[in-house]
Amino acid sequence: MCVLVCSRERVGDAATHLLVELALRGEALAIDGGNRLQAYPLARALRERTNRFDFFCQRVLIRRAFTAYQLLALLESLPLLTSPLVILDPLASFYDETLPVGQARWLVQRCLQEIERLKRAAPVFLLLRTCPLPQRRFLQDMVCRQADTLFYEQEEITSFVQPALF
Amino acid sequence: MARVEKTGWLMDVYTRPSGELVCWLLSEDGQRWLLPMDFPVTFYAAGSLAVLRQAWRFLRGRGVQLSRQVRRDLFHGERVVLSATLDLPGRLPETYRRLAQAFPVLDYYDADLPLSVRFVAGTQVPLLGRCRFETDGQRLLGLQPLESAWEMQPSLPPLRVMEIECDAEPALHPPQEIVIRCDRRCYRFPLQPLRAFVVNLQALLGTYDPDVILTRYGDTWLFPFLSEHAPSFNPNRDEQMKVEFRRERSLFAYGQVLYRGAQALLFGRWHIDRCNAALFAEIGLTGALEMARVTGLGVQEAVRKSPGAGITAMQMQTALRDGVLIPAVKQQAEATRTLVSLIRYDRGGMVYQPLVGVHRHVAELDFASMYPAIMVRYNISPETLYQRDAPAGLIPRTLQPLLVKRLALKHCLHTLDRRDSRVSDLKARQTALKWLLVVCFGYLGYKNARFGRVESHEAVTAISRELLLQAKENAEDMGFTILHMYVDSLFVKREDTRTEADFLPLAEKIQAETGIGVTLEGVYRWLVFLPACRDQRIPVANRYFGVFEDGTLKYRGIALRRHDTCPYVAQTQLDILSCLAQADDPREQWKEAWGLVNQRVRSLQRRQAAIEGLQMAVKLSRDPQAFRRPSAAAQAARQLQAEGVAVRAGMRLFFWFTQQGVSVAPPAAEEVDWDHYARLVLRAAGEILDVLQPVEKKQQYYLPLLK
Amino acid sequence: MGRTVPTITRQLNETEAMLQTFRRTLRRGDQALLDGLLASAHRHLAAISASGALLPFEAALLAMLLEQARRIAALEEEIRIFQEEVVRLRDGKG
Repeated sequence: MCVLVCSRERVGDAATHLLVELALRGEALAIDGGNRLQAYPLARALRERTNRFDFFCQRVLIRRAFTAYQLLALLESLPLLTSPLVILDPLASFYDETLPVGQARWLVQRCLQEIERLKRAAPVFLLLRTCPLPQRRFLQDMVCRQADTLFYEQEEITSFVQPALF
Repeated sequence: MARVEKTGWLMDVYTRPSGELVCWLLSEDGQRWLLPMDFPVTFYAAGSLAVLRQAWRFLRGRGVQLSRQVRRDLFHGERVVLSATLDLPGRLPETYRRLAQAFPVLDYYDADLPLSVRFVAGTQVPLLGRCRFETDGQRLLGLQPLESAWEMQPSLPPLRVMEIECDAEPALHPPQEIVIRCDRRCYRFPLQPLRAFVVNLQALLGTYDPDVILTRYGDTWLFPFLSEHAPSFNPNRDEQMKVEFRRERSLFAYGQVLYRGAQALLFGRWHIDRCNAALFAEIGLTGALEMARVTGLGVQEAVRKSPGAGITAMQMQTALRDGVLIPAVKQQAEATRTLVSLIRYDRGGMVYQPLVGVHRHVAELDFASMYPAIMVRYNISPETLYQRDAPAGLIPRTLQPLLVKRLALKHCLHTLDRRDSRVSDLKARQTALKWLLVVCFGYLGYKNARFGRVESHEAVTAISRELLLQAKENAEDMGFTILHMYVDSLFVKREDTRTEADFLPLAEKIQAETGIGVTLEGVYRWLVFLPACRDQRIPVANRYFGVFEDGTLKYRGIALRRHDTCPYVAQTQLDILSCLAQADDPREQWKEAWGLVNQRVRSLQRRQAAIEGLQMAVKLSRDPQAFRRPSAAAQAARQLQAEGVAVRAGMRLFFWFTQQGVSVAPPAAEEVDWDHYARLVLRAAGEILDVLQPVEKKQQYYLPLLK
Repeated sequence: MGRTVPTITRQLNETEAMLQTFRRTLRRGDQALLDGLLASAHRHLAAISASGALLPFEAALLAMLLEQARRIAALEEEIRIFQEEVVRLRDGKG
């Protein structure tokens, strides 16, 4: 399991790049847990890489989960995959304050068990946004602890930097 | 007391701290009854049999009757469930909470339903419905319905209403005086000394024994204040109960931050805070009663919650009656789809950009309650997805009677003279039902809706787009020009059509082709579609103003419709529209309208406008500390905070523009930024009048080639 | 829940924002022409959306062409009227 922790804005871009690379090689399933999938930019990015982009667009499969319970139900419903799985912003709905903390913890555990099952058959990528709520930061830590490979995006530099030339 | 049989109305149900259910009934002889009743309630758990056995052991000995049953889940079909029945309904929430905490892996059903919804579904007696009941004076022994929730002319209980108002907005200034109106009398009491006030209020409650207490700031100030400073005061009719307080909160819903003030709920009578009841201003008490009658939510809940809660309650009633399990949390996830399918189907209603400018003799045709009508006609329900010839689904069956009743009320309204005394009540009831129908589509796609599913949501919009295209084709076949289409309405014109009769054949044809009712909203003498503010060449959907043949104005998307426009600017726009409405073509009145605008600007420059008319309103989109720029809203929020007012996202704030920035308190005339208000007036006037400029001037905008 | 794919209006606005560097480099007069072209696409948002195109800007280009065709047709009609008038005057029938 490969985990990237980055800003909320970066999740969509990272997913676009990753899904393009995967789609060019075969089918890929994206599970969107936080409304992060950028459908049009993804199509455009594919178009920039291939002329047969209609064909490659068919290779990107999508399922959206709008609540923490739906994310778990969705993972439970997945058979062992032969193609990579990309999960975008999986904890977004776990940060919802209407979801009790205890319940959120239990749901994350269950989701991780399911991911553990799925990763035996195919690579799993998790694109996490940095937790916006300090009191729920432990949920992100739970996921990161289980990562085989973990990338942290550097915090945004707010002081003045020379603008890039290109 | 011997056993007696009475007829009357079921007003509300609630539970006492002991957990027993109490029915508040009003009998025809005017007596008010608060009668406990035996009403066992059941919830269910499903999952692996091993865990269910553990759950069984967990619940054993806790006063819960347990059994193994097979029940129907709408999505999973028949499931083996552990059924847990409690004799005392008030104990259910705690029992469920403990069980769910101990066994989170189980799926729970019927566990968090509003009590009144269970009661209405179980007894078939609607809230506010006429009923026959038996009592021995101590308990309710029998209850039978005499009226359904769908009665067109329901009997109304004779309610006693008390109104309580304070002389200031408590968030800004501590009120000094309280005005109480009851039975055509008016009492004024100073708030201090508090003891004297409380004695007087208690005496009035005893004398008049109201069923409804209508207040301003009762939720957010009066009852919390009394509870804190006069803890022995009890405004409930049921003396065993204390006022139920619910905390304020900001929540993110419908793509915006909503603020819900604290709530104070009573037992044995209702408390409605006009300032904290979303729809009350529009639907009044009559509409609120209608809402409670059809949804099964108590009146106090129905007026405070969004109509979405009402629709959910109605779906729950249907499910309970059908014996379908109601999941505590929604778990249906979206099916796998390709990127192509997501882009093709994840779309809203059809929006056909308008032809900007002035148009004469335009008809507006509306599909009546389009989305709910589609759900009913095409049997759109989460469980009927991808099925052919499926029996009517849960959602269509819930909506069908609501649609029928609303259309019947609307029809009834059309047949009555405007001055008829029944009109206002019918309008209020019709509007209450309209709101339920408006939100029912959104709830099909709402993430927490028990019986929602995003694919059903998409199916409705897909069908609506197809129907609108059919309507366009029909209109064009008959020689009409489509000026604008917006989700469920079309604006059309043809050279030779003037009167309603001229457009009726088109309405009939569209209705016949699409199978959805089409109403002719009216024929505009003239109608103006406005361009975007940022670029006059870009048309904007649903932004127009016009006047019907009978002189009635209609406008959408202009400052007059926005909540953040101050009354002075709004009145100026309204006056401009009234001025334009005098002519057969608004362009003829263009100069007169500008004359009017100049007058209004001059009034401001001479500082003659009343301060109240300049009060701005803004809804806080975030908490005050989250603002990065010192916008007017941020400044107002910080001023209020400095005065000790708790300001939260979603709250509506009021302020004035002053030379120093903004002021949340009414400023003196010399402090007001009159020039700023003059600019607002000019901008609002330009919004309407710029598009009416002579064609030569307009061409400069439209044809950059000629520059 | 509900919609997660942005509206066509938003999508076109984003594309226009991406074209800002292109626009900035044009001469002032050409910038106005470009703005006019882009604005003309907004008249056909419904059709662009209905096309379900994966690259909506392609459909937007078609909408711009359509508006150009409409403009040409209108100008052709004006020329035809002028020509008739010229012929009428030349033949001394005016």
